[in-house]
Amino acid sequence: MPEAYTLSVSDAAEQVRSGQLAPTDYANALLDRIDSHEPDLQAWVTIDREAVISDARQREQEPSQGLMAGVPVGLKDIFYTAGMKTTACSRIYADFVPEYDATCVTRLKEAGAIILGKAITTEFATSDPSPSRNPWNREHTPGGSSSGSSVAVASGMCPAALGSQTGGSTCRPAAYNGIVGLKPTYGRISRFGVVPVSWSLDTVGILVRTVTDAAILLQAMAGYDANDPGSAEEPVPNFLDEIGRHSGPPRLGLLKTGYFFDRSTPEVRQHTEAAAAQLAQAGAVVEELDLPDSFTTASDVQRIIMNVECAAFHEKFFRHRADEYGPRLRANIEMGLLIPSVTYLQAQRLRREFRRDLTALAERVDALLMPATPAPAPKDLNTTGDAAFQAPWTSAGLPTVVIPSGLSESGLPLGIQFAASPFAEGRLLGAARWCEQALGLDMRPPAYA
Amino acid sequence: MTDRTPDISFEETLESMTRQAEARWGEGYSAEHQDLLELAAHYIVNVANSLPETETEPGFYQ
Repeated sequence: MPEAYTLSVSDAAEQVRSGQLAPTDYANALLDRIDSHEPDLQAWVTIDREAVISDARQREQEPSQGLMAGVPVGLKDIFYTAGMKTTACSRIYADFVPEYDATCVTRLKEAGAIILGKAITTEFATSDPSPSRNPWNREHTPGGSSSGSSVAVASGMCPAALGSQTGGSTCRPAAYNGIVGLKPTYGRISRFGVVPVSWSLDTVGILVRTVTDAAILLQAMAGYDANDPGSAEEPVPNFLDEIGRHSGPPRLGLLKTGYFFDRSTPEVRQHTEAAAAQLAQAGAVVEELDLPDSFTTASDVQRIIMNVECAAFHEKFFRHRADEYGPRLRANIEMGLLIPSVTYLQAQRLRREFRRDLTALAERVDALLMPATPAPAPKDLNTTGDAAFQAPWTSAGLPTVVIPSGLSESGLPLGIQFAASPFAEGRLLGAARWCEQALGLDMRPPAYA
Repeated sequence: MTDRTPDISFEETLESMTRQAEARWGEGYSAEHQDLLELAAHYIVNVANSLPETETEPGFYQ
């Protein structure tokens, strides 16, 4: 019998449903794991041990047959939790206690999940680094902004955690920590009750250790919410069935020329080509595709929109409490306040064209394939790393998933990223799962295996 | 129909940004935040020189 902390969401929920695993035993095992490793890794803001055990007991008394029966989940500390502080790791929200749960938190609970606690984020989910440490090497950044969520999943403190992505805040830390990160299509999961960075970019993200688990969490949370103006009315398929329907060797579009490979280190380029070759040898059809011209301004467009919307959200606080913000967030807000309104609107128009062009490209294959990050996690705790490989997809609203694909020479995780057309998460996850199995890796940080 | 590419220079944009920043946050701001202002000017010029097709409406909620 494997240690409880190594279980996937899928296996744990199955064991809970079949009566092999008691939710209280499972929750206690994870809480003990947190006690052991939290001093080293600093992943959590709030853990209410009594509430966790109480919820677990309730699951035992009223056995859930839900997708996530009895499975504890971590939440980035920007998700509203009724009666529990939601600080966004900021001085501005330091004492904020929401009166209701975010819609996605409600849906996780309805699926049988137990809220394990609130995970550390960078301040307001932006770019001032958090104190969280990378379990693969504590001298290297874990990335951000979903730093605590990623570290907790990678080190076995929980099998799943929620993050968010406005630039690269889910898929980049997933890659740096050697886990799976899913950024669904914009609008697929409600953002109601999530502290915003930028309304038209923010997307709820999923951090787990297997692609199947990503599908389970997506299933639990996806769907229209009238409380979220950005919520999509798109039908929600059964993603596990969809993965099964797309279980054959995928057709992959390797984005080898231009943006992604130009910005990658030689090691990352070679690694990505080797991974693509391994997938091709296993049966995938890999063809090289070129990026559209509109890609050249994609990152600039994303930064303009993010900074202006971020400035708009924070303006009320910022007028009188600017000194309480971290230096990078403060700079982003100030830049947002200076960007002309016409430039913001032109960026939103360019973004619509960009989305159209990328959708056309993505529809040519099951999934686009590229390196997940330009380099492994930097040896620098004053940065969260480079979001350049995520920001364009976030800007276009397309779904992406990162899976671990090996180790760098320095022993740090490397990942590959897949993207698909809007609302094609089933096809995307099917392709990613096939690739995950073809690569056949079992990556755990040696000091926390 | 495609828009004419405007003739907008980095230097003029940076100067305008610097004036606005100093009006908001004082004269010392631009010296301390030159990198930030240059980055903002870079973004503005890149977007202004890549204008979308005339018929394209903004994206907002996608």
